[in-house]
Parts: sequence; C-alpha cells; structure tokens
Amino acid sequence: MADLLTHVLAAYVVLTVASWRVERITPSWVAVGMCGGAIPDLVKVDLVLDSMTVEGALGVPFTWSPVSTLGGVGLVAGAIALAFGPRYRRRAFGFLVAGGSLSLVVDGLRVYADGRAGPWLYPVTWWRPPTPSLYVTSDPRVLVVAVAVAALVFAADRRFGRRGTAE
Amino acid sequence: MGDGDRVVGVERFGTEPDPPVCGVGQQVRLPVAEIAVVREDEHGVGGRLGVDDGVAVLVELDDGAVAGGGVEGRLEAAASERDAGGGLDGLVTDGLLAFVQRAADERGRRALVGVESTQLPTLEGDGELVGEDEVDPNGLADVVREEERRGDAATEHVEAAGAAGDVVEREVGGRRRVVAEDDELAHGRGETRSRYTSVEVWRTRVAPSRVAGERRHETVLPSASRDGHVHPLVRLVGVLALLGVLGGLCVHYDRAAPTHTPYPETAALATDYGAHVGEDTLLFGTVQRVDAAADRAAIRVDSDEGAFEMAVNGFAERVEPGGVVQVYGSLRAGRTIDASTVEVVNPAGASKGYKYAVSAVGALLALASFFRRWRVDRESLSFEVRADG
Repeated sequence: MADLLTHVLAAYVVLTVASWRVERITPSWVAVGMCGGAIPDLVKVDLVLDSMTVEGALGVPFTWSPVSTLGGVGLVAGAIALAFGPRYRRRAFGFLVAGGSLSLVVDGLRVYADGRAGPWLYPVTWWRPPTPSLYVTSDPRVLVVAVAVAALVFAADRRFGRRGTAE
Repeated sequence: MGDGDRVVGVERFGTEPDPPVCGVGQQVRLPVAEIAVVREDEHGVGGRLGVDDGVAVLVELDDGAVAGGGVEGRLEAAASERDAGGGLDGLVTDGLLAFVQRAADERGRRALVGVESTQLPTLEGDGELVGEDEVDPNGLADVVREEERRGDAATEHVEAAGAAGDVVEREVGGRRRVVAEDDELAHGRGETRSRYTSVEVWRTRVAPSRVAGERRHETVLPSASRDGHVHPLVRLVGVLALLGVLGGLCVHYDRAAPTHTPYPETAALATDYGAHVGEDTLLFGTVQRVDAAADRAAIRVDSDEGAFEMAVNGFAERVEPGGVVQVYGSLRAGRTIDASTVEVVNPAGASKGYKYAVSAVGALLALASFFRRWRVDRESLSFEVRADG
C-alpha cells in the first residue's frame, strides 16, 4: 500500500478541492476524511498482532487482509462513527468511508507483477481490478508528489478557499 | 471568529412533535455545528454597512447546518420596524432572510439577532434565528419554554464577544418546517438558491450584563432525547458488534480466498510443492541472495505452513538482500520459478523503515488535523466540533 502519509494527503487534497464547490465539506469534515484515509492502513496491526498468532489463539483461519478492503473500511468507519455525537454520526461515517475508499483506490494503482490489484472490493466481489502499476510504496517520488500537490492545494485553499477570507 | 463577533448557541430540535424540556442547570451542549456567528458585515447589505438606522450584519451558521453559508441581515432601529425583506433581495443565501433588531424590549434586553425564513410565519419573541438541516424529514414545529439564569450560569460552550457587558439570557424556541427540495423557499422574492430540505427556527435573546466585563451564555434546551443520545455503553456494544463482524470477515477471507485466486496457496506450495509444478503464480518474497551474473536470486516466501525458499530465474533487478519483490511466473521442479515479471516492492530492507517512519508522520497528521477541529465531549463521551474549529 501507499504509505499512510500519502493516503492522508490524498484525502486532504480530494476533499479540500471538493470543498471549493461543495459547501458542506468544511475543514472539520476534511479532517474526518483524512482519518478515514488511514483506515485501510490499520491492516498493519499485523505487525503488532500477527495473524498467525490470532489464528493459533482462535483455532480458525485468520488474516487481517479484509481491513484493507471495502468491507473492512465500512465496518471500521461504522465503529468510529459511533464515537461521534449523534448529529454528526451519519456524516462522519460518510466521510470516513470516502477517505478509506479513496485510499483503497490509491492502493489499487500500485504495482502488481501480474497486473491485477488485490481483491479490495471484498466482500462485494473477489474480483481483482486491473492496476496500471503506477508506483511502489517505497518509491520516495510517490511521497514527493503527494506532499507537493497537498502543499499546492493548501496554498490555494488559503488564498481562494471559501473560508480563506472569513478567518 | 473575529473580536467583534458575537456567538449565539443554538441547538437543533428533535424529531418529536413535542420534545421534553430540560430545566436550568441541566447539562447543555452547544456544538459549533449550530452556532450562529454574528458580525458586522464588512460588505454590508447592498454594499452599505449602514442601512437606514441599522448596521449590516452577517449571520453565519458555522459548520453543520448551513455549512458556512452566510445569511446577511441588518440591525434595525426597532423591532416594530422589522422588514425581513427590506434591502436584502439578492443578498440572502439559501433562501433565508435575516434581520436583526437592536431595540430594547420592555425588560431592557436587546435582541441579538433574528433570522427569518421568508416561508415561515412571523415569530413572536425577541428575535429568531433560522438554521437549516437536511437530515430530518419530520417537520413538525416545536417550542421550548424559556428559562432564565443569571450570575454564574456559565457554560463553556459559547463565548460572547459582542457588545461589552452583555450577559446572555435567552429564550430558545423553535419551529421546524420542511420544504421539499424543489420548493421555493423565498417565494415571491426570486430567491431560489436553497438546496436544503428543512428549516429550523430559533429564538434567542440577549440581555445586558449584571457582571461587568463578563459575558455568559446559557442555553435551555429540550432534554437529551431530542438529539438521539445513546448511552455510551450501548454505543460500545455497537462498536464491538461491528468489530465482531470485521473479525468474521477476517476469518471468512482467509478461508475463502484460496477458492477465489487463480494461484496455488503459498501454504500448499510449502507442503506439497510437487503438485503445483507447471502452474503460474504470484509470489511475494524477501530476497536472500542475488546472483546478478546469472540473473538468479533466492527469495524467502512466507506461508501459513512456515517459510520456504524459492529460486527465481530471470531475476535482473538490483535488489539488496532483505528487499521485497513480487515474482510472477511459472513454477518449475525443485522450488524454482521462471519469472516473467519481477517487481521490486522494497529495494532493500531499510525501505521498510522508511515506510513506517513516513506512515507515522501520516498518522500524526491525521490525528492532529482531527483534534484541531474536534474534541471529546466528556459528558456524552463523543466527538463534537470544537467551538474554535
């Protein structure tokens, strides 16, 4: 997967640009979307709690992989949304899922030797979407591009954004 | 918010036609989502700061409700001179009309602000504030009784920064109307910009301060049932249930994946390699040794049945031992794969450290952004928008 910072920045860029046109996307919700962008990376819980360890403890097959799929994003987003005040819950869920899904799409563009991304649409489908194999995560250029674009958007938002003049 | 702003806290009413009313002293929360920001409008109504005897103001509902959409109005000389539409044509956003009055009422209080939807009947009281929300299709009006509180009726939720010496006491009342998406909110005014489906109305009142230099705000609101509060334990159960389902997916995925991938499982390669010779597969492996001269490498592949080593033919990449590669190719006898494609995931073992470090920065960025805009409300144990977010 792309690194977590790229995910968070991608959510920031997309949601901030969208906020220029969609009034309801305010900085508070952009922040929620950025957190949503981090959800698929929770799959790295594997580093702390190895799936094999869990498998041994439970006695059933187990893998953390679904965390980095549509189903995992939806469930984790739902759990996080429950931590929001009632009036925000639904929208929080929406922004979390939006951010998380965006990360899945970004991940879906990375290199696979056989040209097909992982089944990140699980559990909707096991189909592995074709990937343009744009990048590998360890390539620093990915981060350079992400940071540069995010900086541009940040500057543009300051200058031209809806709230730029109000604050 | 600037120094000259005054803040009026308002909360949405519930879906019940007649919600219960809480008393003074009951905990009250004022999320920013429904805080109206009133300030002198630098642009003014019709470009003029002073309109007749009044002063142009800008009413914004911060976040949530109208989401930054401002409602312009003016401070009028007297309540009796209210003319919701006066001078506002073409300036009012989202089909709302605003007006503000500053006349002292019989109790010597001054209304802070009134905003009125042109579709709603005139509201009695000192002023009205209209917000909007799209969520609730239940449009019945409800009114909340007023409560007064003086002295140290502090709530931490609202800071008034208006005219010096204002302590706020107020009535909160409300009505709700729902208008169809395509209804013209401000009929007769050619104002058709509304994209919201319901309108909420609030009345607020501001009173002069008894405590010089101190400004406080008290909101009296219907009790918690209004905004659908769920006990934290119930929510915790909900969270656990969702994570339980996720756990189910984690089991299901591992169980079902082999039948949905065209390649043999790594576990099967570990235990019964011979049965899969000749098949195509995609392997992820950690590079052990590279023989650049012969375009060969040895990689270690992890599986549920333990790690095993594979020899890779056609390995032309420059990778350090410890790096991670993807190999796509055909399985040959003797744990060898003829690679048709090799992709380098991590060129060296250190790449992992780079990814983790950058990811840690990303996690901090996300959390910092979040908590700059949100806070944990200790009373309800939930996230609420920060007042200064």
